Amino acid sequence: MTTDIHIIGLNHTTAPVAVLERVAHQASQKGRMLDDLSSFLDEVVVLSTCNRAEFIYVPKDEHSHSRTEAYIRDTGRLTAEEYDRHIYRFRGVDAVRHLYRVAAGLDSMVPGETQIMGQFKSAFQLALDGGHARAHFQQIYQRTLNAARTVRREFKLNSGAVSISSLAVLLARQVFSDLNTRTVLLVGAGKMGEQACAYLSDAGVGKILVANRSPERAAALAASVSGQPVDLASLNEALDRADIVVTAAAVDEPLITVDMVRDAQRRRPEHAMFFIDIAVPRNVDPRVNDLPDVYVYNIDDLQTLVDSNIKARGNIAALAEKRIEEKLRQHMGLNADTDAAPVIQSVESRVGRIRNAELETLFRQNPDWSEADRDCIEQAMDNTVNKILHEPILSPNQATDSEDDESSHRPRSAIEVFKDFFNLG
Amino acid sequence: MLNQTDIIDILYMVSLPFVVASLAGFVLYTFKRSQRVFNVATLCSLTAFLGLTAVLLILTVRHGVGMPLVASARYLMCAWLIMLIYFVAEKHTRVRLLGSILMPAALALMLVAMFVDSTLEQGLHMGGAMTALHVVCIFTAFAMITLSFGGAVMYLIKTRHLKDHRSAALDEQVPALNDSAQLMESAFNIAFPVLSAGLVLGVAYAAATLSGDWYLEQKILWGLGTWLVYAVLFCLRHNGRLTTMALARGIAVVFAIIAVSFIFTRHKIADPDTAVDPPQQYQEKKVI
Repeated sequence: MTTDIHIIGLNHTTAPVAVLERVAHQASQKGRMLDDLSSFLDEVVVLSTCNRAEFIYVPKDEHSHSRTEAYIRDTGRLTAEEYDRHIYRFRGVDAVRHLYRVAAGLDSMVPGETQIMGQFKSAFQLALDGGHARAHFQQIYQRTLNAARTVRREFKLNSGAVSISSLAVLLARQVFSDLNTRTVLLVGAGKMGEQACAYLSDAGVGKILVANRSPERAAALAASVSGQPVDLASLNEALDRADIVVTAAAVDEPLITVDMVRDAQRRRPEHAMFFIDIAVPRNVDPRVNDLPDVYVYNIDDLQTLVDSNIKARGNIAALAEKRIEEKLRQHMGLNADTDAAPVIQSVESRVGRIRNAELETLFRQNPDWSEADRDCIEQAMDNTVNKILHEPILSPNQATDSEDDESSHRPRSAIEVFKDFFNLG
Repeated sequence: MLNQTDIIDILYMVSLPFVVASLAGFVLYTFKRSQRVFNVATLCSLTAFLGLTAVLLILTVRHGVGMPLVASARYLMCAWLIMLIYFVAEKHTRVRLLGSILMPAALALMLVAMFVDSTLEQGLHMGGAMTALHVVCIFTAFAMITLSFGGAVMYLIKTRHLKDHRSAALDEQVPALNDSAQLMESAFNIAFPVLSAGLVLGVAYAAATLSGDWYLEQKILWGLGTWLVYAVLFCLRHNGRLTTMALARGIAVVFAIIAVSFIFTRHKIADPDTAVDPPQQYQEKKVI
């Protein structure tokens, strides 16, 4: 069954941003694209993110491939040379393997990132809801999610911060486990500082103080994070109150010296202080890190940790690839024995026949309806049928994916089966 | 038919390998971070704890309040207290690495107990309930200081990782600095009055019942010196003149001093060799 599935796409590893964004931008108009592609494809899903644009489809006839390729070339305004150089193709088991890897985050720019899972779900859901994907893709969708979730759970692929801002929050938590009662002082309201501040704000820090050369800018940023602007001239007093200090000011000499921090420590009830210096040149004298109970991380220290986390994720990803292969073999094996697709196709076919017969009767009884009215009614009927069939179609696939569930081995009443069938809780 | 001594020996000999196994498990967990290893280590430590509980119960039934005066029993009691404190602290703080710090202390005390030769009669003739309370206080304080030491070790490890900007600083199993500082300081604060009370009781007993220069004994002088170091740390910390880092280092030093005192020095009056025929200066005052 999976031999019919094809993928044509390009991503951050095969295409430069300029080419990628042309296709991805067009692919972001998924609804229109799905309508266009459905005219010559049996089933189709368009997956479009910042780093990839992929067309997952089952051809309708022998012309489907060429028409799909022409469509991608035209909509992405790709030259023949660009197309040949940057596009990749997968088919059958390779295509399914690719989907598993994409959903698990193994094909992402940062291995293990979680955003792709949501994007993958949205893409399939859009196609399923619109009737552009049916039983076949429904099954592949469920199994891909199953494989991706297993791999993510077993290998904890998203552990370790891979951005400066998220790392800063994680490090702050290693000094002060509970950030709710902590005060953050942001020195310099530049873009980097703002981003780090936003992360800390999201992490739930108690209070944010913003000091900047421009009081207006400080006030604006403070307002955006429910903070409090402070005068840069009274930095010493602000240090007395701050547990976490984020510095991102464009100055030539360090703004925060050893003496300032030592004095602040004497005045503070608690000695521990954490400095995140993301400015270049540095705003915090590096010798501040030598003071007891004071920890200073500059941009180089943070970048080194981020790089090591990315490398670690890459190492784990190599192990996760093996698990993907196991899942693939398991699912391909299941296909042979318990394939639910033929049953689902029969149901769809029968429902389709009923739909057509009812519509025919209805239109015959109302010959004065316009073509537009008939289209509207047909569309409404399609949507209703798809929505009613959505849960029953999921049920056999979910059953095959949860074969370890003990409850599946006990006899069930007709009412229970009916409830499961329509997901009635 | 087994008598009580045989049962105690069997329970002890069964508990000991479980403590060794739990220690090995906790150390392995420190490096491998396997949930299964931790579970097995916890199970072993619980088994050993139950074995020790049974030993102490039998000894208590046999000797009543005089139980802590039997040298081997008091070392076992201290090991038992350390294990109990570990279970409570682990449940409360979820810091699993504590096992690899506290269990070696428990094992060391169990091993010491094995090599201590003492009899109940020697213990009881030295002092009764007051001395027993002295022993309980001192050993409880030691167990709390061991916990405080565990917090201090984790604090120092985390500090070093953060100061050196190592990726290990992000290790979630080593608690955040303020959490380990809190654990360390709480145990430190509880241990101080308990230790002080234990020393006061011991001194009061000795002053009331012993003649001669009893206060010049090595263990008493060592204990006094330890208490002075502890008191200085305690006062400096509560006056805000001691950083958390300095406190952590201080606690490590206090723990080392007390551990040496526990394992390598003994009251001459409690020494079986001298207790049988105690030197003149340790003779009890004659009651007229």
